[in-house]
Amino acid sequence: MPDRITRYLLLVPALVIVLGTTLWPLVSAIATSFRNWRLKRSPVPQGWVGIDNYVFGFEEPEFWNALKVTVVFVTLDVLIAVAVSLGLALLLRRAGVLQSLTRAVLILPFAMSPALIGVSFRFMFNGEYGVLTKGIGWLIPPLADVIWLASPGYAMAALILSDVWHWFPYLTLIFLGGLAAVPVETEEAALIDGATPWQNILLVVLPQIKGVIAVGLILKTIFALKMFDSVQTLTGAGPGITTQTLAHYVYTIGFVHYDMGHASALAVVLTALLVGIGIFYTRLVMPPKAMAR
Amino acid sequence: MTINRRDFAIGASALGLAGTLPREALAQAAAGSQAAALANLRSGKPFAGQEVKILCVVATQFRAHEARAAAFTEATGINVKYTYVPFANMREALTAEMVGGTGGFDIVVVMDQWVPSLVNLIDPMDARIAAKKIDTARYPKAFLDLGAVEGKQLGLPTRSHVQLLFYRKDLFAKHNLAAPKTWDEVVSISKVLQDKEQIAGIALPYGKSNGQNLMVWYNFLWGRGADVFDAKGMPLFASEAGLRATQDYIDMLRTHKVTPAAAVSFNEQDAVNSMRGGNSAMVAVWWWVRGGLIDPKVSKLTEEQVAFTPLPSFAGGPRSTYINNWIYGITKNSKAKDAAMEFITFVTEPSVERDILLDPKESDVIATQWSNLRDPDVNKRFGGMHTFAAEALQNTKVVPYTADWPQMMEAMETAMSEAASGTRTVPDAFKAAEATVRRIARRS
Repeated sequence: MPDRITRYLLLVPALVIVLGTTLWPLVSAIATSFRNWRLKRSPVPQGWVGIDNYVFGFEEPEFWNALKVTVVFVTLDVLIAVAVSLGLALLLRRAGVLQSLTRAVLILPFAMSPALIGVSFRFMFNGEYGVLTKGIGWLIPPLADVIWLASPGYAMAALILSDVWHWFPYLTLIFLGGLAAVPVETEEAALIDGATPWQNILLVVLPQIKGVIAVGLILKTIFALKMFDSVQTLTGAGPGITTQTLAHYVYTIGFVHYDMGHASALAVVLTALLVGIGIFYTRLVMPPKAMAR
Repeated sequence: MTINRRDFAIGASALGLAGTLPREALAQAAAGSQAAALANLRSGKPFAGQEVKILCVVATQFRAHEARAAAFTEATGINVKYTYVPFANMREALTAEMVGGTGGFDIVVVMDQWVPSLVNLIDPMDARIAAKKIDTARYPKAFLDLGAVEGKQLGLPTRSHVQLLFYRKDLFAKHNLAAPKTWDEVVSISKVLQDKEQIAGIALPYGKSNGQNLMVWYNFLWGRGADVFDAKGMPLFASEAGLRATQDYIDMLRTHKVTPAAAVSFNEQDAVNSMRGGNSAMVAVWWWVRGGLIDPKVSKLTEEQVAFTPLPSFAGGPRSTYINNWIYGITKNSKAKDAAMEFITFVTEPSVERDILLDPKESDVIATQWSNLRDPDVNKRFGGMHTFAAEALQNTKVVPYTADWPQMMEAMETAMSEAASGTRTVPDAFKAAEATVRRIARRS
């Protein structure tokens, strides 16, 4: 058998698995989004309803609230997570015992389940005995009496804090990888030419890891857009629905309201949003010309 | 009721006081109760070799059922296999079973609020109940109603809860306070305790978590003569009386400040933790919580410090309880329905329930049947708790759940969270919730 055919044959199992686990659910969700399927009425999809599920979805004020919450959450979460991770990576990039130890310990938060993190932070933000509530109150006295999960702003802050805590180790390791590839000579040359340490970082180091930062941004943005676990376990989407993200809203429509057609339509919208952002970032970081090369 | 009397005769003669009897007597009593439970099963082992698979929520009570299944297997040849799922994932597990339609489970344990939306999962049981001559009058009607949809009984009650007000007996005695009968008394007592003991008066849940912030509020509604729905199933909770009752509930937190400040984001567990951590003097919660309130492993309180009383009401209003009920139902796609009914017949026998209630190794307070609620030995063991429950069950109302209930409940719990956090006033939040509920009903 020619090598070319063997090559393709060997790819078939992997392709079948990938298509079966990603493409088929997507196609199925798209098909369901055009059907009436309310689980409380029928365990199987019913008739075709055109774009009714989409129209109904866009008419719901809760959808626009979830979209607004998602935009706020993603913007703040991504910026803070990337900034913190980048700062830490810059601190840890030099060799040393402390740096090595810190790098090893760093991965622990990322190894934890997001749902568990949400539950843990719920305890830590408890108004009566939460260690974070007490600790923050001790460090910043004006915040001593704050009930973190009781007001929209503080609840959002708690949500972002828990997610940044989860993600900064992973992002830091990615950035450390990028920083390791920066030639020392370029920094030495800049310093000899009179650059200050800040100028060295901003004008010499960071431009050289632009691609790595972009990868971190893409990953963090995509995962932030899918934020569900901590909303469910930490804030319960509250107070009211002020921390209900789009992913949580889709879950609520599907598994609380039992409206699979409507939930599928919203899931398709969320997927389109994710794909759009992925393409935007990819083009930003790797323009088509660069990719052609 | 013949069965109950027989059980009483078997159990009461052997048991006496459960906690004080010697082990041999307990073993005899257990054997007696099992014999009674097995008496109603088909003879000749017609289903021997079959396996009954049960999808069940995590609860000590079901572990106790599982432990008693060995005698059933020995008598019938039917094997029983329990699969446990945490409460937070239970509805998804039931949904997957319904959509999958594989008959992977023969029996499912389902909470009342979910029953109407899971009618495609569960087979109506009326004919089987009649064939087994199970006397449904042994259950409080409210429990039975919560397992029925459009007049069809989808399962038999197995785990049912009533609410009680637990309070710090020691602090009440120290300040010469009597257990409150009205919510106004709760406020005045709370202020005394807050002043003298620097402890919050009553822990109540106001945060969003599976509708837990509504569970005490229903009693406020009923106490003010309001209700959740009218006779046509349209929302009534935002009526004048409903809004007044809701304002009363919110005032406990925001105006009278007799709850912990953090109660604004409390779920039920947080409220319980507040009392057992010594931060609140009272908590209004399910009866099964009693064990945890006095468990030295998780609580600072001892049995001598905690007492209970029926939930208060408003002056002249009924002292009600919101109730929660789980059923054992048989799945539509089960391939072992007859064997499954045999097990349900066995495990829901009053004598099995009584056996668990009086078992010194068990601490579950759950009783679903009149005979056990009024049983002197059961009441002796739990300090009269079941008598209170039986009284409350005589008069209580139930929320008429529909298939749309989870969606409607979400609108109401969101409104409660908004009103509690002050992001909206009570009328604004609950009028908006009313509009949402009407929209859901219309779309339905």
